[in-house]
Amino acid sequence: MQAEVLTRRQLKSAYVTIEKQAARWKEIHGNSEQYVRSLCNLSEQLESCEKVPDEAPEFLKDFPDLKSRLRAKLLEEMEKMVGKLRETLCSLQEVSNSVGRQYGASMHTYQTHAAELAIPKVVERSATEPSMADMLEWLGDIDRAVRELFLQKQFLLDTLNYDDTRQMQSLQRRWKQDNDLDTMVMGILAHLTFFLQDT
Amino acid sequence: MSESSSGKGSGKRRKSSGTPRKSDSSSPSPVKSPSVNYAKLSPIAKKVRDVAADWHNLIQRWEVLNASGASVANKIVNCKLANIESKDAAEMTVGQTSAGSVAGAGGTGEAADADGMSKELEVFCNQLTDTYNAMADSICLSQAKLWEKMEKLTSNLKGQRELQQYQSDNDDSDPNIPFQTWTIQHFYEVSAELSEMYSKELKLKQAISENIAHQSDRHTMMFLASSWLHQPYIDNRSEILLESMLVETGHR
Repeated sequence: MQAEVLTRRQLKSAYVTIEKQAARWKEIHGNSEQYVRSLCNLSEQLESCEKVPDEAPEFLKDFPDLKSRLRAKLLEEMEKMVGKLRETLCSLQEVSNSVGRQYGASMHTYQTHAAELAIPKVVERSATEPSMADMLEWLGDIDRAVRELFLQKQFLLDTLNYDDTRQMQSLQRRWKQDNDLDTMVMGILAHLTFFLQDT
Repeated sequence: MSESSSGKGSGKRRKSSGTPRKSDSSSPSPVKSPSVNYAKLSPIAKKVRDVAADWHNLIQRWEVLNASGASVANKIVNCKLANIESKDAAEMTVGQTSAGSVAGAGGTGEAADADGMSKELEVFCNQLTDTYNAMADSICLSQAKLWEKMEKLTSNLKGQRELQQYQSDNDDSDPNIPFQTWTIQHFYEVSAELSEMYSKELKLKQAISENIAHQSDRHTMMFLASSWLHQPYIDNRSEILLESMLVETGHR
């Protein structure tokens, strides 16, 4: 009996944390989109700067180094934006770690009491509450999804090429790809409404 | 010379005696520097201090104007691009209708319509472009005025330096340092460097504002607009120079 109470309590606190962390992820991610947009914008400007014909128009004859100077300025701005995105990445990693810890702790609690918990008890579900097995599995799913998204974003930033406008455009598209996470977490939390309300 | 050194000396004395001064409360730094005692500064130091403050204000105004100029430049580019695109689209419809209306005469009316529309659009866009061009010109003009002021500041400092040199020729015990570490010569050099950067940038801006509305290539237009925005001739050094000048004169 004690084992079941303990495991359920741990699961509950884990999901409360997950709820908060999911909101935090969403907020951090929402803030980062402006940086991705300006990065894209800057890369377009850089492309135009590169594609401008080499023989400068008459009125720019006095500024022979304009192109290289502008290029330097643009790259500098882009570096700044990537720096901001790296900061974002650090915050997302914190979220991911926190979710991972919750999953680890829940699994640990279950495993220490596994001997006392009979299988029927673990898979038993009611109209208002899912089974412990389900909840543990969902935690694992969320943990994996969050970590994957984080690694995806890290990969995007690590393989960034400032000169490649098309890659920048795809960055903008791929950076936004985390609506699935939100839907998934919301769906799971919907199953747990009564479980979490129950004191 | 005697004024300068006596100003500094009395500043130190007043500080150590702990007399409360108005200027002290305005300084957020816990480290009190001798230059905080503005009332006791030598006339030369006061002037230098004013010059530094003017530099700060002028550069801030420059930044504001630059931002508004950049948005105008962007509008011009967008307007031109829309103009070019609408022209292309009109040409395409003209081509299609003339190809499709070999048999019937109904198509010619449509083509004329599209042609008229594109012309109307062009007139409209040209009007817009003219307006923006005028705005860009006026911004350029006010930036030119700003630059003139900056130039005056520099020549002011040059005069200060020469005066200081003349004075120190009479008495070489003068340290020639109105504040903490910078000599007047250094102030002049920094000011000259800043003014050189801004004059080059101003020339570029003038060239851009005169020509941006007459370009037809997309990349050239984008290039000009982003050159306006990012101010390629103003180094990152300028920020450091200005900040250190402000710190030196006790504004920060």
